[in-house]
Amino acid sequence: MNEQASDRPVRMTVPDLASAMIAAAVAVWIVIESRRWPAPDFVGGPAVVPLLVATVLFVCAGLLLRTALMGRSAVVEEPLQATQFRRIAIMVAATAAYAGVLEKVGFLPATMVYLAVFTAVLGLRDRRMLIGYSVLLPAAFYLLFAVVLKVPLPPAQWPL
Amino acid sequence: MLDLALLAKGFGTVFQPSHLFILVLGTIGGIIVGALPGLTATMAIALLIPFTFSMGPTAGICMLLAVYTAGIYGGGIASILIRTPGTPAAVVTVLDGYPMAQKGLAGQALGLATVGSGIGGLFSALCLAIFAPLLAAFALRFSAPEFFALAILGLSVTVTLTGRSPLKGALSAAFGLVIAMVGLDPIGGFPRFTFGTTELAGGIAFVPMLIGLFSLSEAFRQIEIIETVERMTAKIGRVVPRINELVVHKWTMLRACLIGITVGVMPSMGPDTAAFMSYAETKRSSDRPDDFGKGEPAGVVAAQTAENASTGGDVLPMITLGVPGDAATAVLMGALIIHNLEPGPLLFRDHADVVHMIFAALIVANISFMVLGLLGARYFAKVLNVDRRLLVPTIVLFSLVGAYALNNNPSDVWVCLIFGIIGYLMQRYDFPISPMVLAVILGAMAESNFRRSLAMSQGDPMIFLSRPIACGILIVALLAAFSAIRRQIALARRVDAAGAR
Repeated sequence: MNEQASDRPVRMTVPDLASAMIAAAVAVWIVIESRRWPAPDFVGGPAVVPLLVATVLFVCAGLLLRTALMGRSAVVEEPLQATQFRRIAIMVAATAAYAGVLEKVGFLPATMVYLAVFTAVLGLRDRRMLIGYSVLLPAAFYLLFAVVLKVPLPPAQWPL
Repeated sequence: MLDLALLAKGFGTVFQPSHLFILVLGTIGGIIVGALPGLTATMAIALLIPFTFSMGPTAGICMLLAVYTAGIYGGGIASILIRTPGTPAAVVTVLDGYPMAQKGLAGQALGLATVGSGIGGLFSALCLAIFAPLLAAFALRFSAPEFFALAILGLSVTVTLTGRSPLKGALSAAFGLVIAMVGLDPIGGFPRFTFGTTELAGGIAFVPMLIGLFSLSEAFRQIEIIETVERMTAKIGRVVPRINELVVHKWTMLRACLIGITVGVMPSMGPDTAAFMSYAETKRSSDRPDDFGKGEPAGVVAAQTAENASTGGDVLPMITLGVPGDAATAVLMGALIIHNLEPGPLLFRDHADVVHMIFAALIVANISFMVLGLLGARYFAKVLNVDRRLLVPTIVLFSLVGAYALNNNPSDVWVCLIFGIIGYLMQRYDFPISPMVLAVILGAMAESNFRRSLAMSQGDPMIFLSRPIACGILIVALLAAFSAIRRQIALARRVDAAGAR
């Protein structure tokens, strides 16, 4: 029963509520920040446009909040299944880790490990394919872009 | 006026072997990216910008224009062969292209789609070359109030026409405006929203943001649907059409060309709208309207010709006024800026040679994809069966390394990742991305010209109403805003009605 329910598209109430909250928070932040900026001699200082944008954000947040609370959020998307969610969460975390270590570890080792993890998470089980892809793609990528086309990539380090 | 001597010089530059090689490479890449469902021309341009940086402006622009035109054409390949549009614009091609493939006419459908797209693209490139210098010359009279009004018009039309919900479009655009304000303010140089850091003083890195929003977000989206990808099994057959097969569609092509270029010029209307309108008009004026949707070749020709005929129209306001009409031209504009070519009327005055080279490159790019498409459609079709478990990580790698390579800056990789996550959530929860990107460009343009106008008038806002062109454009923008409100009310009623059932 639950399984069937989770397959159905749902109203976007929670995402709409969250978006409205974020918009309102950003608008408040803009107002607070802009009060610290110098006031000009005539209309048109650094705070004028930010305050106008904050007003637009407030209005949009209010309307979106109203839409969500009245149950008028449009039905668009099926909810993520647990496997999909887990896969995306792992990949976002792995990508963040890759971005964090890219310069320290070097392009080749970091990319080889990252691609191996990525393809494994996506369900590639053929070990030869997995290793071949994770080793050859970064090497080919480095040779083509860094060596031939002189595109500045992160330092290669081991194994070149 | 179009300068034929400069255009000839532009062709000479494009036909240099290295530039031609890059253009053909861009065409092949564009067709492949366009053919793969979920991957768009916009995404390919965003991905390639950092890699074109080291090529120099001429080769870089040749490659990006080739990717742009070929990417739009390539969408039709997947529409015909697997009933899944390669790009959003190719939705209409599915209607008759896939039934033709089911009847064993996949090759004929691909041939007509290729020639239609090529002729549409050539027509629109020629229109661009003829009309852009005239519009740019007229726009040289514009001053800050007119450019402010144009930016506001671009913003309001974008919000009105993009996505299902204008309210969500407006919120997306408002966040784009916030992003545009990060950094030094455009008139006084006062730091805003920088958290006291020097990294943000120059604003949020635009190209890594584009790569995140269009490329990384799409890769995350593909992870979600990786098991559900269709495989191509259709037999293709003869692709190159016979002359008589083309001659019977001459009026369909002409109509599609005119609809495509007209729709393309309109802000926020691109290849998808052009294809829908052309298809509907062709069906309406046909002797056999009931055959449409069942494998009518004219349906394929109408959709594909109009799609590519809109490209020149899309580029026109971007290159002449600095006002991009859609996401693809916004990204192209970002690419030109990276190569130190600021689109707008001054580009035509100060870099007329580059502008004419762009016209030449666009014409050659259209011929290039038409030839390569006819000769290699059956081979390009094979990419539809590429294992997505290998393709998606490759896209992510290109995205992250591209973001890094532009400035050799690891923080740009983080910008790309953060906007990748934001873009993924926006797509998933029905917030259109285009208004955000357009607002980043148009917001900066609107603010600087708004404040320059007020400085010109000593703070008197009547300057916007006392100048006829600025006032006229602002009135149109206001009408567009009213239209957005009406659309939002209509959407709320539809949701209510659906809930009541």
